[in-house]
Amino acid sequence: MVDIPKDIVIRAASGDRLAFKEIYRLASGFVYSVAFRIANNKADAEEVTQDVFMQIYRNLNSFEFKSSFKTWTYRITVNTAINKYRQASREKIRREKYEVETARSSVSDKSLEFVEKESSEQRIASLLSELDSDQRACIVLREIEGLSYKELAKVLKININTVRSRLKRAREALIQNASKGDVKP
Amino acid sequence: MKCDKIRDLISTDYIDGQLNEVKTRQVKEHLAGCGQCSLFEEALRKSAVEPFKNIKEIQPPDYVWERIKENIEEEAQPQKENALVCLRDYLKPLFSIPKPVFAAISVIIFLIALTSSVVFFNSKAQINNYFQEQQEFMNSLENSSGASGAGFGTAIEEYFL
Repeated sequence: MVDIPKDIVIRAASGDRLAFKEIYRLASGFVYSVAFRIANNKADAEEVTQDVFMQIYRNLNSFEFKSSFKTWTYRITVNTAINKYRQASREKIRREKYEVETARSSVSDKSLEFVEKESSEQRIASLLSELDSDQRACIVLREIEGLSYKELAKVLKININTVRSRLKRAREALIQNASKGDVKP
Repeated sequence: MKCDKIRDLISTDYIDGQLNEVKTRQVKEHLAGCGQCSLFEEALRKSAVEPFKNIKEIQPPDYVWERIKENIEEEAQPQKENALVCLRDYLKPLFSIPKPVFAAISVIIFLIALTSSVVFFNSKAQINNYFQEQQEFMNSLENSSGASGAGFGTAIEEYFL
């Protein structure tokens, strides 16, 4: 994991807007990617990305380089994305409950099925949707971002054995879903 | 090594290249001789590893940076100095007191004010009564001295004079 240069972080922390823009240029790709995979939709991913960079901006002065800047950024991203995903899930459950209760007697055309070619992005999204948020974060950071177990443990602030057990459970869930035919190979 | 232990390793360290040489060799030897574990490894790679290979980083739309920039500029703007802002800042600590504490303080102040006003009015009434009594006494003295004429005051003065 290649980190963001220390001097850029120091300059940004002292108020250099160009340095902060440079941080955005270097980090926005992985921040947005992780946010998109965990939150599972574009609008939420954009909001998460915005929130993450505002948190970075406000807390740059208190960053003490105890961990790498990238580790810190990943941590903020994962936490913000998981919170967003959970909030969205609660709202979705409330909305679905409301829709079931109010649409009983109405004739709806919701039975129309949309047949789409599954692109690799959609395939990834459907794979990840089968996992809980903690497992999803582990798989995204390991398989897509390429973090090692040690880096994963630092980002998620968990034990290395917990990293192993989450990865194991996530992969077993993916195998199970594939064998049920939920995910087309 | 037993199959369940091998599968644990396959699901984690082996597939992620985190195993040392000795353990990697042991797993490979087991897989060569165990059909079940071999099938498990194949299913794992197919469902949980290969789909995520060569996934490219996604860049956010340009307007995300514009929004961040706007938020930063908004936060950086200094507050316009005017009397109302100064007053607000001066009174701010008062409103940062928790509501229950603020309510309790208000009630105490009200009770003190109420008690003070009751005491004040009572004492005022007492003073008024005192003056009234003195006035009546003076009136009574005047009435009794008016009958004797000169009005020198006490009987002993009248005796000697």
